[in-house]
Amino acid sequence: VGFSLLTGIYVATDLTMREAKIPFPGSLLGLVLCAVLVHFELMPLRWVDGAATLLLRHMVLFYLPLVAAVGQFWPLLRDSGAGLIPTILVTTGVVLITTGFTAERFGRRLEKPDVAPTP
Amino acid sequence: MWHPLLSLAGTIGAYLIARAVCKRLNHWWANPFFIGTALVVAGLAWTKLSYLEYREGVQPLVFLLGPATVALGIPLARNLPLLRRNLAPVLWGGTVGAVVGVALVVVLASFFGMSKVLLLALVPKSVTTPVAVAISEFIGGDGSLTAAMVTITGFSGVLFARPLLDVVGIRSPVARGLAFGVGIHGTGVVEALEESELTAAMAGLGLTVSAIFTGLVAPALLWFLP
Repeated sequence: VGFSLLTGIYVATDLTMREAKIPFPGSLLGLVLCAVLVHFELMPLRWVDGAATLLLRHMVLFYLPLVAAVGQFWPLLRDSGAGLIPTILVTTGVVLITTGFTAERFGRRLEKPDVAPTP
Repeated sequence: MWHPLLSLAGTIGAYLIARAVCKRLNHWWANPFFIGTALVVAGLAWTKLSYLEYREGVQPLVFLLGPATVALGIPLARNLPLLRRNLAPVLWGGTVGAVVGVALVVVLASFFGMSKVLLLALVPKSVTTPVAVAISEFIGGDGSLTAAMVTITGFSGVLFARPLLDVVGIRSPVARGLAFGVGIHGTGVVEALEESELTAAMAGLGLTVSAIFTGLVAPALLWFLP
């Protein structure tokens, strides 16, 4: 039951977005819709919990077939490799720092009692 | 003779073997994803099967990424009280992280003269794999290349995310957790678990928020790119 509900949400949102030509991936709308349905108890958690846990635990299996195609991109990766790794490292580092700083700036007032004072 | 179902069975088998091996080894590099990929690639080479023939059989597995993405809504619903308490840091941190990540990828990829297919695969690299694949395919990128970039990002994060935040002095669990989730997706949640429950829960929120915001930001790129 849970599995068909989750699949149903996915197919429904995916088709809607495609038909409406809205520039936003359908499965993401499905994610939000699923959270809303569960939160307002329109869809009881116990119906979908088992299926969701199973899907999330074995997520790696679902994208193994995709990554297996990486062999096909080998020439491309080899030619761009020099720039690729620095790009990934630099952007990931900058994202970590900017996100952390922004969150700390906006969160200081609210979370202060919970945070251990820094020596 | 080859039957599509053999691809399916082989992939599931590779995954199960990879999981079993990782459970036994219990090392940070022993990741089901790496070993599983290696097994599948080796299997393809051994059977001399073309990727397209292989893909035909495993399409049902790839389809499941859709429902799996929808299922991510459940941890989000569970963490709603936490989200409400930290609304400002989550929204601002998530927005800044997504925008900075996408913008910087475009700048650096152009600087290094990367091809468009690689650029599009790099755009959602900080997002959890199923969503990253959806976003990338949506903006005209390639799903498999994207999945590979997402994995490299996650692995790079394991190496330097925690020391980096230490060095720049980001100490609150809320900010650290969020940074992990927004920056290095699923691996971030695992890293955060080493620090505290709160950090991990924030990382989970960060992962979801960055997925949603990147989904909103990335399509805008289509107007800027040739």
